[in-house]
Amino acid sequence: MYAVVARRRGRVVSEEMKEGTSFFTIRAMLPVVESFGFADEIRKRTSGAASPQLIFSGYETLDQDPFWVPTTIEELEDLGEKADRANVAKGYVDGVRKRKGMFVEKKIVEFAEKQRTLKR
Amino acid sequence: MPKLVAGLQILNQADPCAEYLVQETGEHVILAAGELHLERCLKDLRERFAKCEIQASEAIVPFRETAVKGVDKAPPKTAGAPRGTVRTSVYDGLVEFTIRAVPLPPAVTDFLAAQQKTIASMTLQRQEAAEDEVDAEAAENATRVLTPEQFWAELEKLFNKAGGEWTGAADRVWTFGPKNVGSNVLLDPAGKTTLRLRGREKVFADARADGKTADEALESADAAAAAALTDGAATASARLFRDFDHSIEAGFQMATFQGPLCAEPVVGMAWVVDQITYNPDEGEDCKWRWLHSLTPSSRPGLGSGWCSHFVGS
Repeated sequence: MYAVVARRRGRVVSEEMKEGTSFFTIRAMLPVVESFGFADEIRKRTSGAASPQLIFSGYETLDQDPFWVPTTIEELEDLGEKADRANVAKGYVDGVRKRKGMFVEKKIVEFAEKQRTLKR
Repeated sequence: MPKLVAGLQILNQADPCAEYLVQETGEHVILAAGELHLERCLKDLRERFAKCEIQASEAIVPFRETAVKGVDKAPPKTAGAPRGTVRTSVYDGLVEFTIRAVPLPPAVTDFLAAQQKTIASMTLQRQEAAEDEVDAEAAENATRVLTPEQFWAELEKLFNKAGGEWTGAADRVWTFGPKNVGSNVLLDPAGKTTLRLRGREKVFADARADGKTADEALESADAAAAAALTDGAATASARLFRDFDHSIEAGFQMATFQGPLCAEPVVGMAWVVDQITYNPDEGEDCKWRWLHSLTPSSRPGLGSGWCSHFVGS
């Protein structure tokens, strides 16, 4: 269950055990955008033992810069020029822009068959 | 399409947990209590209420935009000025203005977000006072959480606690946004003497005490301010800048309602209007045109000033 929450960029806030029963009450904070399919996944992973309830709690700053571009050599090697994979904030921003029909900067690969000759 | 709208209205009535509304953007949106509930609503729509094929988009997740102070950034866009400054001009240099975007201290942002009702009722009371008919007491007790005096006192305390450039900012607050009640502020630069929100509140309070109407009180306050300016040219330019005010305010409201990242409302930013210069080289007949162009150009200026900050969402 912790793995599911962590994968969706959530964090566990508190865990209490209910006296007299074998139930735990676990409170966790989770971004709304990652909460789709959360209930189903939790039930599947815990074989029905966990039943989630989702309540809106507010807004929180996401600690990433959507305009961040990798600059050092290691970062460039790892993430490529625009770091689309690692930059979640950029992913969210682009998603909203696409939904609203605004301009999104992306690299569209035109000829996927073209290969660079690596051996020479 | 009409079948869909009719079906949505029936769904709205039939299911107490489901709401249907048309957003300002023109999108038809269903609010449901969870994914399973949403699936059930869509199924009902297709089979019973609207009886037509429906294409549902992905779920809409509301975001808010803000900026925070970051480290290790590229040099600011406008050389020689603090980060976030933008100098733009309108109509070929007729009016130039410098606006600076700064993140608000977090305590102030939280306070403003919690006091939305107070700010809204202050705006409402200002409009009602102008109509001169309303029982001020009833309006005060109705929806307010804090009285205006308490609100401004608390805001001033928070600003002074943040220190630095924020001391005394409570007196310089021009307006809140978006929609006049949000948690962003437009500020005058330090040292300006125009009567802004807090000053006007005091004027209205005195007016109620004396039995005058709000308009009379404002007029006398403006006359007093004008009399204080002994220089004739200064009076003329003060009057001119009051005309600019509405355009800049409108640009501010638009910019905060749709932020530059992805057109979502902005939270926790302050914009300081550092300077406005009017270069009357074009002549008097151009005046009626610049008012219109000032509004849309102040908006991208506000946005780009902000983008040079470290941004989070």
